[in-house]
Amino acid sequence: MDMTLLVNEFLITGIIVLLLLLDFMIKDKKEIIGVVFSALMFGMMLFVMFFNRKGILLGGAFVADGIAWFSKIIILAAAFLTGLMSVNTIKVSKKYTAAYYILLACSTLGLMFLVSSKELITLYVGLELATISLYALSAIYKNDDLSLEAGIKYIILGAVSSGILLYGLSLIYGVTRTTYLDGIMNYASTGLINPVFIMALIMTLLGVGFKLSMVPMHVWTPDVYQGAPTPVTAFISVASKAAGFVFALRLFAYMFIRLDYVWVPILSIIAFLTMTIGNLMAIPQKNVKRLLAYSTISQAGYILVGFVGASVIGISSVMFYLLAYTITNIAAFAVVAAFAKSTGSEELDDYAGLAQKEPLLALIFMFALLSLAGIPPLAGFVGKFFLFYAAMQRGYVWLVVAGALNSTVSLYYYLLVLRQMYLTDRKKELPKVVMPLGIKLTLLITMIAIFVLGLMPGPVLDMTTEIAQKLFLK
Amino acid sequence: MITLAHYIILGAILFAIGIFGVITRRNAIGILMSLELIFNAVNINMVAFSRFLTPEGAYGELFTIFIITVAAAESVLGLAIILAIYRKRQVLNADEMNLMKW
Repeated sequence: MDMTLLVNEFLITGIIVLLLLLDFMIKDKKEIIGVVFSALMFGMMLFVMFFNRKGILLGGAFVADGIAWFSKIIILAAAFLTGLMSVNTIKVSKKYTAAYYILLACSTLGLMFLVSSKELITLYVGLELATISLYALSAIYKNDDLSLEAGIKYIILGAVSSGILLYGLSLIYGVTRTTYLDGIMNYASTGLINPVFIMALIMTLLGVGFKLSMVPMHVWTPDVYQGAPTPVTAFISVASKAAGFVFALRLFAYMFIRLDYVWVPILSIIAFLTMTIGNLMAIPQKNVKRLLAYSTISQAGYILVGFVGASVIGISSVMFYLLAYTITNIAAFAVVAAFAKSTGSEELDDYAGLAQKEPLLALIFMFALLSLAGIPPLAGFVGKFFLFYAAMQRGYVWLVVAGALNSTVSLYYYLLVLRQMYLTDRKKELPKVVMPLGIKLTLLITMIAIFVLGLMPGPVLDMTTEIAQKLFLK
Repeated sequence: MITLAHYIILGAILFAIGIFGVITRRNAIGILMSLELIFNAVNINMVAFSRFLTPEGAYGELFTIFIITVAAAESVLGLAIILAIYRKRQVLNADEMNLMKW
């Protein structure tokens, strides 16, 4: 047994303990904990990037493969940028500042386990460690009605969905008599499929769909995104979703790959509904965080299009899009956090005339939104192009057409925001937006990444293609 | 003679009652209790499968222990949030926690 494969997870656990100790030692300047957290997460990201060991541990329950490696980089990057964004913008009392970062680190740890596990118990525990920390994080403003309401809605709907997921997993265990994904794949490949197994597959899909905010399970998304503290919203929308997609990749593109005649039609319809409903609901929104919440629902729909082409190109495009989506969404939420910190408002009407007062902030928000809409030469365009290309290759032309139409609809409401910022005059006087150093750094890093990924996607795409090929070799 | 089917049917009934409770309860604490029923339905399933189908391994029992632990953590957090909401707004019913809509 090569325990060094677990070194990333052990180091994160060490970081959690270190943050706890720092909480005891630092009395006044609690922001230091945030800075330490961000620095350590950045260090971990570089460490994971260069310490790239592959292998299997604990009889196949824990695996360090390409997908796990790539998604751990995404998760750590999201944790790093979230920490950086939080340092100056969160409004929790001194007593709870450390708790905020510790919960963030716990969630990161859970997500890292989730993407690495290939056994149902490990998957479940990783999933719950990540989500329970996020439940607490979204309700951490305990004097804010909206934050508390977000917390209770998130926890109740999350627990229902994990109950459905568990029931599905228990049926899978009953039918296949194993909890290892490899064993389940062997069963699913025999071709002797009974109806209970199909039912279990659908229940699992519903349970996973909660994390991805897939359409029948998306109702929590806007409320939680609006109520939770903005950096937490950013983290939920990128890291938790990325890990959810890796979970879904392991289940569908790996474990149930031979059952694709069952889940590909279901998933293509769900992808269509997710894109359409997300986009249509976003149009009338007045709150920027709520608008971005519906936009992330539609983004999840685009990513599901890549699943439909469950091929090498499909998986590689899903991985690439997850990275592009992560940095773009963090940039958008960082702008919202900076604006809300100074003006105390998240209403779209208050963004009127932002371009005259804060040209730089408005420009960055414009690039982030255009990248989400998929305008070249930004990162979102390349990602979306390959997602649709993958579905095209499998012959899902109607889905690609629907996706293209949806992109147009999404461009409409992103342009509504841009019109507010650039063409409308400010109606009431709002304080000037001060950008603290943490936000500045976050925006700088994400902007560079959006342009680099958009202009030179080659190296990253080669990497994701190689990872996807290795998944299918076995 | 009690067979595997009895346990699975019991689990399914319990699961259905739990889902029904989550949908129909107005009281937030009632919803949390219904959630416990769902988790216990899964636990019955797991242990029964483990006992009847894989008596040589204890995967089902292992899974159950983790589910019980996680469900406890979830209820504690849920109750804490409900308490915080109650202190602030004197609201306990789920349909009155509706500051955010659409």
